[in-house]
Amino acid sequence: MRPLRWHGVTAGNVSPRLANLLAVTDAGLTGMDIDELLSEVLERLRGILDADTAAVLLADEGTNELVARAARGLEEEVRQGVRVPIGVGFAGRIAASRQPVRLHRVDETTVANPILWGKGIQRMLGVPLTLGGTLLGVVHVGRLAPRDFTVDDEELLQVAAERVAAAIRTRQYAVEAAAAGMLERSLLPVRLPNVRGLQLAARYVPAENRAIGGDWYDAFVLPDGALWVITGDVAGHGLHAAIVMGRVKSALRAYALLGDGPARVLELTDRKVEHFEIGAMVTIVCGRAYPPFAEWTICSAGHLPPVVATREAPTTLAAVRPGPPLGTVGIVPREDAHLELPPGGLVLLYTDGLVERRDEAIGAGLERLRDAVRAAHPETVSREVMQHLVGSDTPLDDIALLVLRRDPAVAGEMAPAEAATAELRVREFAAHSDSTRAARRFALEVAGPLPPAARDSLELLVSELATNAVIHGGTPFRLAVARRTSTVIVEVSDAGAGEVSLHDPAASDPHGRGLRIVARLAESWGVHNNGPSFGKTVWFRLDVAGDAHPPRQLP
Amino acid sequence: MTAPPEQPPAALLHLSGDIDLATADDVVSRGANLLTRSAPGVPLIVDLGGVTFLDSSGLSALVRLRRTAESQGRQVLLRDVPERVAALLELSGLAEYFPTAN
Repeated sequence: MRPLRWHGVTAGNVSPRLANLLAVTDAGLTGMDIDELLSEVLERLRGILDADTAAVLLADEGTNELVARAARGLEEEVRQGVRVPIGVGFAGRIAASRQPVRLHRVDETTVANPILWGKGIQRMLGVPLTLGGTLLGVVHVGRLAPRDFTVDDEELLQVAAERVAAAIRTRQYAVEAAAAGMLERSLLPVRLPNVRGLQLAARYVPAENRAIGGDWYDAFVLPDGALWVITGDVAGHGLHAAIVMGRVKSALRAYALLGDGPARVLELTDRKVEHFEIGAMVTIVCGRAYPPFAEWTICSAGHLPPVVATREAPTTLAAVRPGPPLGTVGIVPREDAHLELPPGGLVLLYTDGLVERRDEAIGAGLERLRDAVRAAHPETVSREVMQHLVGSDTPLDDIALLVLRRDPAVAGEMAPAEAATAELRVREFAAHSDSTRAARRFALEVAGPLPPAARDSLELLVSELATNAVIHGGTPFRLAVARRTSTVIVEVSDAGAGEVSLHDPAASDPHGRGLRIVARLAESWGVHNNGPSFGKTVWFRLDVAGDAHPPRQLP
Repeated sequence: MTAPPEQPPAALLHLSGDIDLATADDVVSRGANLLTRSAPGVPLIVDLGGVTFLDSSGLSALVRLRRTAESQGRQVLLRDVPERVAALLELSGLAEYFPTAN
């Protein structure tokens, strides 16, 4: 009787010989760790195939080698940490060709590892461990007696290999997910720097089934006051890409600390990548600016162009000519580009996962991105961009997003020419009831001489916003005041939730009058909801020209 | 001959300085105290002559005092109201609920 063909075998039509083995891998899916499982499988394979030795080598993505992971009858392979380059020797050939190999002669001409022929092994059979086209490693068995392995043995080992591969992958995912979770927490910035005059927001979304990948964003302030913003992308996926990313990110920070600009820092980082991260390809765009963050120096290594949005002009892609990605063409001189950012202007850095879709040209994604970006608060823009470009899809690739905007506190409400000359002062106050008085004094001081009616109104309106911040924010609040010729603009930012509503209180209701007073006396007012981590900003503009005008009626 | 009946002690609350978040609660407790100690039926007179600033927290204090007084069938009257406070009462639609004493 012809033996059954085992390819694509399911548990229902397995021979007793195999059933024994598969029971291990199935039960092992829940219980044993990877080494226990492999030892058990190898032990049973030895019995089923009448072999003296059995071993599993796993592929190391980083070095392109096979590493002995488990063995029976050949324990020294594991103990000595045998590594075999993929493509070389018996196991290396199996890995490279992804084909089974049967050896009828075992010596230095057919096997690279002296442990094998030194042991007196006469016959060998090995098959690749693959899953979904990915090479995980090699499993091989050997006999000390000169008795050939048959085609049936080969098929049986292949079926076993499929099961082992699946079990390995399950465990690798579990380990990788746990490690990746830790890495993610250690590699992503815990919080963005708090920079006066600039607002920042960021997002990181790993690709499907992953906790982390090779994409990152970074933002940091150096001792000289320079702010750096970066997004980058290490080609590849999973833990390996994430680890390379961690090193590149760290190198970039270190070189930035030397005080050079983006182009030079990328040149230095490229040298490090070329030398120490063999085979890595990294795209990066980084920008540096000093307060008040009006002039940005930007350099791109093969990265997609930043998006620039201002209130004055349509949203564009920054004119930054990219140099080659790091790790690709050797050391080349790189060029800085310069970008002027008006008050309230916004720059968005991102990685290609945001705009790339399998079924369309990248230009279409860039168009969509440009359409989705406006000069609003970075948290708002991040939310809108993710909504428009990702929606409910699981991204195929990592997405890192970093958005910055020059603080529009006051400046955003003014024409640029006026903003440049206006006196803007910002002060932080404790969430304490005494702070409303301190806030009033500060505002009057910044505003300078005013007609009495305007002065009274300003004092009252600042008091109302400060009171709300103390009562509802519960954390220190920030007061920004700017004086223009005929207007005073005030912003109060606190960490409270962004919901603000106008009440129409009954005469007997002790609360809810503050904002109504603001709404009636201010020339204009509004609320920015700055997102969950950033609270809200309530602002008003008060006309302080000589003639007091009557308060407006509210609906 | 009988002595004329004694004038019921006036319930007079003198306010001064800034009436805001920091001082509003104190205004309410002082006012409530006066209401308790004074003769039933006597209106509470709030003298605002020394007030330098008053915002919605101050309005809130006045409204709360008025409620307490009302629950005892008593009135709150304002006296010597600074112009800017009068403007705020007007703006807030409360002016008619706080008659002035002379």
